Amino acid sequence: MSMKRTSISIVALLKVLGVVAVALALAACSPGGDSPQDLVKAFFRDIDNGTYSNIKSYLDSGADNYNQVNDDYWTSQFPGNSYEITSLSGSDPVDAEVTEGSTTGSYRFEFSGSEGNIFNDSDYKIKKITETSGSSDSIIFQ
Amino acid sequence: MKRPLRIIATAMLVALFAASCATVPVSQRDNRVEALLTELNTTDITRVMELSARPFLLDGEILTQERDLRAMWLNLRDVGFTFQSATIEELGPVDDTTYRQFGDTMDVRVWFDRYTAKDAGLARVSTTHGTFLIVTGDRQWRTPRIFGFTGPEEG
Amino acid sequence: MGITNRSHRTPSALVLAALLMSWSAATALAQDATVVYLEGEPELREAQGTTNWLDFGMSLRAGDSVVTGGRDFVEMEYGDASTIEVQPDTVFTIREVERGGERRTVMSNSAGAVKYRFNRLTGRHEPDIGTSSVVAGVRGTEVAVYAGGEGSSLFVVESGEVEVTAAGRTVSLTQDEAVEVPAGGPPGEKYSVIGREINHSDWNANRLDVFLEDPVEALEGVAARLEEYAVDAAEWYRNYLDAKEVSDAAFAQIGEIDDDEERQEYRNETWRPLAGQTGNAVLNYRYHALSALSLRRHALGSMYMEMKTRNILNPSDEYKEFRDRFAEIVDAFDSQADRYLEDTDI
Repeated sequence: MSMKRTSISIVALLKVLGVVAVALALAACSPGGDSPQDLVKAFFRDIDNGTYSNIKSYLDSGADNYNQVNDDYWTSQFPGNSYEITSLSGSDPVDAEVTEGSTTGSYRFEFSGSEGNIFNDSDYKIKKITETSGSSDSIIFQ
Repeated sequence: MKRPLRIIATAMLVALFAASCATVPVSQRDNRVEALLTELNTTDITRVMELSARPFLLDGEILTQERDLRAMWLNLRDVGFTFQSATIEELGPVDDTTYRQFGDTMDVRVWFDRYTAKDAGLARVSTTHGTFLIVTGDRQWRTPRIFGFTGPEEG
Repeated sequence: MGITNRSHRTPSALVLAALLMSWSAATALAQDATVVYLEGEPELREAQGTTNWLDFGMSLRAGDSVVTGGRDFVEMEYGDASTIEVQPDTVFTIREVERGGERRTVMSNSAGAVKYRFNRLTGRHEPDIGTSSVVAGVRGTEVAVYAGGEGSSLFVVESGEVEVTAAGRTVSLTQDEAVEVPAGGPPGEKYSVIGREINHSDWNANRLDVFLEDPVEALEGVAARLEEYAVDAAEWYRNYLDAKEVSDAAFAQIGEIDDDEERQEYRNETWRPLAGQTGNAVLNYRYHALSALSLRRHALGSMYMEMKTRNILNPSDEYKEFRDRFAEIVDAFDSQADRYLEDTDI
């Protein structure tokens, strides 16, 4: 009896180890890449830090004016340097509420690309940014 | 030295020699660049075009169009120009300052930064028509490709 | 701290109205050009500077270029029923510019030839078309645009109307009419093409012969056009700086307003349109700078190649004169390039 119990527990242990191994393998293979909300966070981080050259890497290069926007453009649209995201909602589009100093701006970010899988990272890019704070929407980038 | 040790030492030397050979890319080997120049001098324009990268740098000008590149080689042939009696005086990798030898402009700086191959080489070649700087890189089988040239050097 | 001087923080109603009009134009949607047919191995040079093979179904948007080789051909559909045919050895680019408060699409070929067929029903969003030297307005048109290797342009109208304006002169073309425009100069006299077969290869060969007859004069034409682009880019750059000063002042003023609701309203209704205006000025100086780069690359570069290779063994006096003037023009271009251009533009 004791031998049988021992063999059962080894099998159970192997099963548990197998499950753990598969889980670990899946975790290792789970899709990487930035989510849309990550991109919005990165966008405002770069705006805040003045590292505008980073921004192009997560904009959709197919967007109109992609090659015409530059540092001058971003500083004109986001002149402050203390942007803080107070709320983020949605996955695509993502609505972001941002404070700069004592005022609030509301922005809608739309994306191209798709969620990744175990073989590929997600490849989301920002294809449109609209400021929705005012009485009419203002397109910042598209 | 004991025999096993001799064998191991010899094997290591052979491996080291092989490794050192492998680290010199085709585009930076004298005999392969000479082979490229020979082909540029003698082969038909179709083959010359295959051996030419685009965008191509002619002095400080970036040629992006196939038509311009073809016209360049045809014109050179028409006036009787080749890299005749070419002798490679220097050959080494392209570095961050190489662009200044072609022109100290934004165009040339960015061309070297973005459009040369990872194994880009720079050859100083003397010919009967003067001395030229030739940018090589990449390869077609065992022949490197030409990415640009400037010359003849003046003075 | 309260608002001490309301007029200080508020632009005049007239200026504000103009700015609002300008900013609202930025919301106009542009249309894509989609590849419906191709031959050979044409390339797509994307706005960020990367180059890929072009394929069926791909869309071109502002900033993108199609580059064809000697055996390539591309047909694209634009909007509902308009077509664009990119001929061999052509560089075709789509850009955007703001004109008179309206965001316009500009399609141009800095080398080679493009044939356009715009359906009149596509309406008010017909783009401007042209080369890196000259841009024309079209209306329900079938037109071919040829770019010469020395910067000249030829417009040939099969149907509809085209207005070609350059160096202060406008020529209106209708069916079976054509006009040639030298780089930096006004359009020539229009002429009838009835019974005349025009193809880009022959026309360009003819333009090359004309160029070789007096290369320095041809150089001056391109130099004049580059200078115009430089003046326009500089003007828009100054506009940008001025607009930014006003916009930044408005932005700073936001913090001076005590009342939360009023502060937010000022931000949204006063500062935001000013920021939009500033952004448009940036896009416009970039448009002119990028147009200049196209001309420098495809006309000036081509001219240099022709002269250099023909004179490599025995440089003629004419070549030396050309080379010296060429160096001056390139120096003038480069002295401003860093301000307006980025590495990815090259």
